Amino acid sequence: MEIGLIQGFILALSPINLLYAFLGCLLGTLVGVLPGLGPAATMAILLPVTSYLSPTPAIIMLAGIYYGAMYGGSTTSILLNVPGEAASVPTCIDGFQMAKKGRAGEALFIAAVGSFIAGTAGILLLSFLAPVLAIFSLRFGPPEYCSLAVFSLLAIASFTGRSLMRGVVMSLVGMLLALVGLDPLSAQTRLVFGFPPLYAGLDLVPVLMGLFGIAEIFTALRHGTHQISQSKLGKMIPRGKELRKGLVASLKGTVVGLFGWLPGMMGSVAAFISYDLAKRTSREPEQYGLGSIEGVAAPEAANNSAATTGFIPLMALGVPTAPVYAILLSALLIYGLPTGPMLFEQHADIAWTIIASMYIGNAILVILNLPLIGLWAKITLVPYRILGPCVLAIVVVGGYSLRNSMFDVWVTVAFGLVGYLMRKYEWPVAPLIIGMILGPLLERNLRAALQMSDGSPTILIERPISAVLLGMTVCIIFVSRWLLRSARIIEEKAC
Amino acid sequence: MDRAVLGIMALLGIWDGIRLLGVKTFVPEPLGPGLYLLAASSLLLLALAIESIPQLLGTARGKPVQRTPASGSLTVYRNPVLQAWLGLIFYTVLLEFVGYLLATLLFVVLSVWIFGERRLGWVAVSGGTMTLCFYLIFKKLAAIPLP
Repeated sequence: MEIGLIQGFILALSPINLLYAFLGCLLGTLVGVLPGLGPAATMAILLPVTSYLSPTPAIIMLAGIYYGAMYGGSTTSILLNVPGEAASVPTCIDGFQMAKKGRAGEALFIAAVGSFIAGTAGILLLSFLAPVLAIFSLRFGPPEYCSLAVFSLLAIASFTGRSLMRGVVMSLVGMLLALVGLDPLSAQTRLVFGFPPLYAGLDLVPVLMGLFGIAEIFTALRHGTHQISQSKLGKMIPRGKELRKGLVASLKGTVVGLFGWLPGMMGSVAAFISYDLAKRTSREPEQYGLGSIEGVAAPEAANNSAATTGFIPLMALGVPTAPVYAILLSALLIYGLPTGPMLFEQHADIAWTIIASMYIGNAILVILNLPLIGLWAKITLVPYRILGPCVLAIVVVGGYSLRNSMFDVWVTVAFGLVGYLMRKYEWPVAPLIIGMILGPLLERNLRAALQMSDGSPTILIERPISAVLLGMTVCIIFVSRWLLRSARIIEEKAC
Repeated sequence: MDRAVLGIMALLGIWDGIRLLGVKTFVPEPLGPGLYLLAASSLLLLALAIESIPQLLGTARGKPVQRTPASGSLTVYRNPVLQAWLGLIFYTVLLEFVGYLLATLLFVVLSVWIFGERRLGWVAVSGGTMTLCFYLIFKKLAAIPLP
């Protein structure tokens, strides 16, 4: 591992990789700052563009956009009481209160520092756990992968949205969408209904661009533009007791976020849980909701460490646990790179370069965020009537450029409306995406497992790892209901 | 209506799955393409039914049904989202007939108007500027194929 990481640093510090790490962090922070455009939308939009780069800088840039957006999301939460993305919602509660009291600078400082600490811890865990998990997963056969897919799908369905059944419905819809086209084993057409362009199936990238790129712009258009806050930044660095409280809360948030590698434990979930935990363990819980620095530090640290540890199942097992990782997985597939344990086996240089670049990107983000806080605050003045048409035009080009196909553009436009309606009628989007990604994995391995056992499904229980995963699936449903109940109480107090 | 659409999707999956049950594959397998599709579609229908139970029970008891508040008119004139989506469709159709530059110029100008800019001069300037920037960046700088 040590040799791999050192080699990774050598490659990550090359000028081209440094440039793309910087670009990714810059774009990510910008995206995080701008309400109405999330990291998933930006990554989906840029995915076709990055396909013209070589794989390592492309993945470095896309990863940078994601954890950069986690940093940037705190800016609008604190200054405007508008979360840049879902994981920044708890930050609004105390962050905006601090801004109203003229302490916006301190809030932004502790958010950036806490994010750096948490991000570093997350990447350290990634460095140690991902290769170990990759080696362990070499023992996985078709039954284990099938159970892992079921566990991941149900975990995500459990943690997203308010209703488990809605999450399950969307997961199944995603699985059905993945079935459109030719069955790879028997070459039979499924859900094509005689429409020739569907023989090749639905490409994931246009679906992603529509569901995230177009749908988020439509949703922002429906809600209208926001009033710009006139909060003063005040002094930047908290002192003495305030600084100590903030750092301790950051550590608590970091620990919660380190579980971000578990399916379903997305940044937003970790942020809510850490806010609740920090409040329960605080000496001044009555200050929460009134401008407590701990209420800013804990969720921001949690969402950053969850953002980095979320790479573990992606790189070690090839299983994305949130839509942003699904987009990164798509990027790996576009380049023909193996996912899961084979990534460390056959392309260790790429895997370790990506991990090393995350250490570098984390440092870049502190440099970008701390001195430039004032500038990021001004970026929020970009009018949506300029940003919205830009994004829509870029999405159309992106949809076409993948396969030079106008059909993909139509798919993007159609799923733009689908994504908008899903948000309007409160159907969760994440399970649909994960269903599209994991559905083929589930089908392929289920069919292989049943062939191994001559049609007996008990093979899924007889194999110990598979049985444990199925047991965890049942547990995760109950655990998620309990955790989300706490999160819902906090969310009712949020912006 | 959302549940109806999902229900139709599930029924189409069941129909196609039944069609495929009769198809013989090269290598016999316990779970063929048809059975898997049938199972997934049936599960979807079942999940949809379970998800709808609380609402159906509420309706049966005479309780007010909790719906997402309707926002935005269905008439194009008053619904900016519908306008933007129709604008996208218009753009996609136009791309195949008049080429990228002209189609993008028309679309961007229309979009800037839909998104709220009412100063005609700014609409024209920002539309033209954005179109030119896109063309230069995509075609000349990044060499990305354009429709």
